[in-house]
This record gives sequence, structure tokens and C-alpha cells, in this order.
Amino acid sequence: MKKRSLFISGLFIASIFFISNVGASMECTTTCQYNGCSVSLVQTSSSYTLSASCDDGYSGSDSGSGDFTGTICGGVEPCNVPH
Amino acid sequence: MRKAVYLLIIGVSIISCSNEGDRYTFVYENYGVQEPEIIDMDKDIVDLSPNDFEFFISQSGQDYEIGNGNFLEAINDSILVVVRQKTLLKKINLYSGVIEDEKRYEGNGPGEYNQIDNIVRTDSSLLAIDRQMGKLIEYNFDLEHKKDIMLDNTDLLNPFSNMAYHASRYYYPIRQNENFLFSQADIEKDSLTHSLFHKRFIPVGKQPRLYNEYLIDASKEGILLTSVRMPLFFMYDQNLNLQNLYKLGSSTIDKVGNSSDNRGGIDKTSSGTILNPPPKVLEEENRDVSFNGFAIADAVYADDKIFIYFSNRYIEDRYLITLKKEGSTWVHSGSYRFVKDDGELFTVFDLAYSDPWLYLSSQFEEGIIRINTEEL
Repeated sequence: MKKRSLFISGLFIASIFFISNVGASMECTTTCQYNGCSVSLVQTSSSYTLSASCDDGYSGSDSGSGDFTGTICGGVEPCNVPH
Repeated sequence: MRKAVYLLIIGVSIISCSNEGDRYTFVYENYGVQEPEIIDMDKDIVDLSPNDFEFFISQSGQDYEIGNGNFLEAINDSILVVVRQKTLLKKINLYSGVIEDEKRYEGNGPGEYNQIDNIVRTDSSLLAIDRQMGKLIEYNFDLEHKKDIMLDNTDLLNPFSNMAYHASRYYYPIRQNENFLFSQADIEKDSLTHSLFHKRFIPVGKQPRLYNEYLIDASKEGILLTSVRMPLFFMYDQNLNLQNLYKLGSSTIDKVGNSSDNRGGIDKTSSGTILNPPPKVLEEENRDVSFNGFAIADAVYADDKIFIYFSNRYIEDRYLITLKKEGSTWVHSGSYRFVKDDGELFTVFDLAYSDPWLYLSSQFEEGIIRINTEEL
């Protein structure tokens, strides 16, 4: 029950902080907060970079070719750029 | 005879272990360096309590925040932070706690940005970059717009790359050049001329591209490039010639491991993920490459001192590394953790320096730490 509440709270917080925008340079950024972490996903037409920095000092990042397929912050769908 | 065989086996084992121990040989070769200079991290980590440093925080009842920001910069007796989703510039007097200036310039016109992706100070102004617009915006210390400078090929795509400025020269990372990772431009000249430097390590389009992440800082002595994902830093002179490659020598600093936990609530449907990749080119296409464990949050080059904030979740540690110059080389002068009143460690993602003061902050802390580096 507690986990479920935490998950719902996380989703709620994530939805509050969810921001996305598509710029003229064909990239978009999705940012959200999740469990004490600030998460951002930058998607370009050819690659993505995902990063998280957290209030316990943890920082991590991923990057890859093509589109990021999946969700962040426990269910937030990242923005897309046209190909 | 049997003894000789045993000795041979032991000898081969030692050689094998030492080769495995230094996983960065491929990097040294890329920069034409046979061996890096090793900085012996021989000193214990010292815990500093609030009695050992100054802590600036908004007083109860005040409706503004001193901390909770990004891209800290020290301006005389004031501190500049960027808050509210990196859109609001806030300049705070550290002694009075008064907000001296607070400006938001969102938009697409002159002096305006969609989001501030990084900020750096010059001798008399501040330079903010909007990556998407490829624009460098100069403000004076009163946060008034001076001019816009359009840059080619800006790349602050990876979140830990930053930029630097010294003596009219602006240094920033670039994305698509096949040979180099950084550019230098003299922003005082009417037409920008770019000089490229620091050889690309992972080729464009190849993995693991995270090894292309560097933090840059510049001083009158030259340029410091600190790898975010390797315990290495590079020193360049003002003519952009590589002078030295250093390795932080510690048995635990780059200890990494695989992890199944999920800090960002990330659900990826792609497969073939490689965790903790080796620092050499991986030819596989369409594979995700993750690097968990070791990272440098920020680094400052202050002529005869270097400050590096390090964290490694696999040894559950994070601390400030201070180096000092002795003769022509660098030596470890200390490592420090910043412990709050509640016993928790202060979270650091940003450093700023104004002789002799070092400032530490992050978006996760409500205050800012200041410490006299001459007392460290």
C-alpha cells in the first residue's frame, strides 16, 4: 500500500514538473522530478541523452542512437522530434 | 625448475593484473601520452562540520531561496544562481541576504533565452548560453543585456559539459566535429574565429559516447579539462597545446559495478544495454550504453589550485578533492566531505571560486556553503 502511494505521489509530482518543448534546432527536452531526482531527456533527430541527478549526490546518464523508446519518471512519455 | 615455473606464473599474473588495473591505456594512446602522471591520493578524507564552513540560507519567513539553483557564480560579495527551471537569474548579497537583482528574460529576442543551459562570468560580465538557439548572451553584473553572440556548432547536449572563459577567450564543447571536442573563440573580436582542440576520444556516432564528457575551466595558467567519467584530467597551455595528462591515483575512485536499481523511474523498451562500458570504442549500433557509478560533478581551476567534486555511488562516497601545484606538477592536498547539522552530506553539483573563497551548492540544497580555501 505504501509503495503504491509512493508511486502515485511520484507520478503526481512528475506530472506537475513535466515540461517539454521542441526547438527550431530539431531537439526537445523533457524534464521531471522523481524520488528526489531531477531527470532530463534531450532527444535530437539522431540521438538522445538521458540524465539524472539526485539529492543524495547520485548522478548518472545514458545516451544512445535514434529515439528513446520508453518512459521516464515512472510513466512520463518523453517528447519526440519529427524525422 | 618448479620454483622457476611458479615465479613465471606469478610474474605473468602480476603483469596481467596491472594491465587490467589501468583500463585507460587506450585513452593515453589516443593523446600520444605513454603514461599519465599519477597523483597519489594518499590523504584521508576529512569530515567538515558547520563549525568549519559558512552556510548561507534564507531566514525563516523570507520568500526567496538562496540555494536550490544551478550554475553558481561568485561576483564580489554576491552569488548568482539560476533557478525556476533554469529561467530566472538571481543575484544575492551573501552578507545581507538581500536579492540585489532578479531577472527573467524568456523569449526569442535580443537578450532573451528559452532556457539557460550554462553560465560563466568574465572580468566584468556574465555569459549565459541557450543551447537550442546557439546563442551566447552577455549581461553586465546588474543583469542588464549587453549583446548576443551567435555560435556555430554549440553542444551542451550532454548534461555535464560546461564552458569556460578567460581573457576574452570563450571555451565550449562542440558536437559533430570528427576530430575535436572543444572550440575556443575570442568574443571581443567582431568576427569570431574558432580554434579547435582536445582530440575526440569516441568517434561521432560510436559508443560509449559518455567518455566524451568533460568539464572545462580556464585560468591565466592555462586550461583544465576534467573527464567526467574517468579519473583523468588534461592541462593545456594558452596556445591549446596539451601539456600534461594526470590520473587521480586511488584504488577506489573508479570502482564501478552493475546495478539494477532505477533512479529516474526509467522504463526503456530497447534491449542490449551495456553497463559500465570499457573506455574504448564499441562498434555495435543501436545499443544503449549506461555508465553508473563514477562521476565528477564540477571542477575549478584557480591558477595554483584545482578543486574537483567527485562522487561514486558504489563506494557510497562523495567528496571534494583539492590539488595544489608544487613546482611543475600537481599534488593531492586534501579530500573533504561537507556534513550538515542533521548528519547528512551536503549535496554538491556546482562549485564557484573567488579567491580565496570556494562556494558549493546544488539544486537540492536550500543554502550555499562558503569555505576559505587557505584554511583547507
